[in-house]
Amino acid sequence: MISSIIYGFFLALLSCCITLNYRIGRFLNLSYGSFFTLGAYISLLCKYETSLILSSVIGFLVGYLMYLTILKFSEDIVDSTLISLGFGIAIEEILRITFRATHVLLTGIEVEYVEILNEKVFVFDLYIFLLSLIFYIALSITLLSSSGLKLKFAEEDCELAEMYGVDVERLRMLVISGSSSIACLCGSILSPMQAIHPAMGWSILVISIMISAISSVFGGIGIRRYLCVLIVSVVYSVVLEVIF
Amino acid sequence: MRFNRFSCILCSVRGDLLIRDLLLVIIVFAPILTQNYSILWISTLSMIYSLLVISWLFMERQSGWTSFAHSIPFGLAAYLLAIYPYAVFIAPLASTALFLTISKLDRVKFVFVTFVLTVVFWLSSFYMVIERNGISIGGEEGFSVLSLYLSESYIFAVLLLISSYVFVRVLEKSSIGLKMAAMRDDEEAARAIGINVFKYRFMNFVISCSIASLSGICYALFFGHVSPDVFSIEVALFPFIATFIAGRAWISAVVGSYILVIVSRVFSGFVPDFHLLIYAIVLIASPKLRRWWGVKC
Repeated sequence: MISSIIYGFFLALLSCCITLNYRIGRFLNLSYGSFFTLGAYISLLCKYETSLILSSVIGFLVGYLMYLTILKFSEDIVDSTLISLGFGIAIEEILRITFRATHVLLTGIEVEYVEILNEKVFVFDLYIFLLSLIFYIALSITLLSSSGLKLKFAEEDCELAEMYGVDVERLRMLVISGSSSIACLCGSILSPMQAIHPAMGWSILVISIMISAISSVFGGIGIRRYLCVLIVSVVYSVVLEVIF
Repeated sequence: MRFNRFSCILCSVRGDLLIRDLLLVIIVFAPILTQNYSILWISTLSMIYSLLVISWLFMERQSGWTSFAHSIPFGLAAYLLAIYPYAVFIAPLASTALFLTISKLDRVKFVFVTFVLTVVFWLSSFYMVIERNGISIGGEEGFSVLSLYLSESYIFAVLLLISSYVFVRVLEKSSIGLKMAAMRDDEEAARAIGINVFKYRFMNFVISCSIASLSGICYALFFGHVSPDVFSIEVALFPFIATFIAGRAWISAVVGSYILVIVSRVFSGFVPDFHLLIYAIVLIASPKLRRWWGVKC
């Protein structure tokens, strides 16, 4: 049960980023899974601890590049979504061409676990849980502060927000680059626990989009919307464990 | 009366029967003259993909719904042919039902949902395992199908391509095609002048999914094997990329498919799956390319 709740937090983190991209970035980020894959591959290149920093930085930079491309080329939501899909496929194919091997396992790192309430939980899962918790705390503080009002305003009506002096483009840049960085970091953290292959991000992307779509049905704005994402994610992962 | 209308349609089609149709004839029949196995093979594969692109373009151009899930009727027909051939007709019907359900959303969400469904079908196809004679088959390996000889596959593909090409062109100029175009341009206005929007959308989706299913059957018979690749994102994006490369005329569906298949085969010796990088570049540049072709989704 503990593991599935932690998995729920991990999904909530990714789904929140998808929601933020959709509501503030104004597009469905289909490159998100590829950023996760990129992070996992980065951990093959250097020490695990270094890869965590490196993946965050590279994720941010590639995300920023994607933001610039969207800013330059895109006219509407479909354009931006297609550009993100192009970025996703490009990342995947560059990794496939560079690494050649279809599946890679990260060796040399001991997969440790701790016991919580008589249940074995992997340390890497706890890292993800911690990251998710930090993300939620940071998001809550932001949304409850004065800059959270700007964020909510941009979410509801970005044109009007821009007219009232909110720097929407800056927010978009931060959301797109920041969420790319988070996806990359997640991939890097979880890399010792899974077989790394170029298409590994697609399933995570689909689940995140589904959770994001389901939680959008319940509506709400600001912190309520993101809490709703968290609840849906946890319920999803718990139900999944009960069924299988 | 009916004869007159039909001859009018034929006349208007005949007006366009110029270089483009001549180009189709050359593209389709030239490989026979070469008598080269590789050229015939590439040509057959290109024609199969051309069918898929025509089916996609029919939906996109005539009804205005951009789908990223034409890999579903394509793959479903191929899989059903391999697992239970008598049920192959289910593929276009099930796909039509799926598209009609998604079309309850707006056109932008239709694009997103079809893409997500493509990924879901693709990932699920890896788990499609059946037991035959006590042996589990399917999964990543896929299923075997009775294959045709290359010459037979070629003839089958030529017949399907030319008949589909003529069919969509004639239909486009007919009253049904005009009603579909009216529905594409403005559904409210189409309703106001008495067009049954649901009926024409249904017709459009059925025709589109049927052609896509036929191309899937042709694909399975050509290779003699189907695997989860038939549901892949690559197949789903193929029509979109082909029309972005070659334009949105009916003949462009054929030209674009030939270009993509030839490029992927030429470069696959040096860089496997090189064409996917081309896909990525086309997708990133798609807003610019769309303005180049003067079209809007």
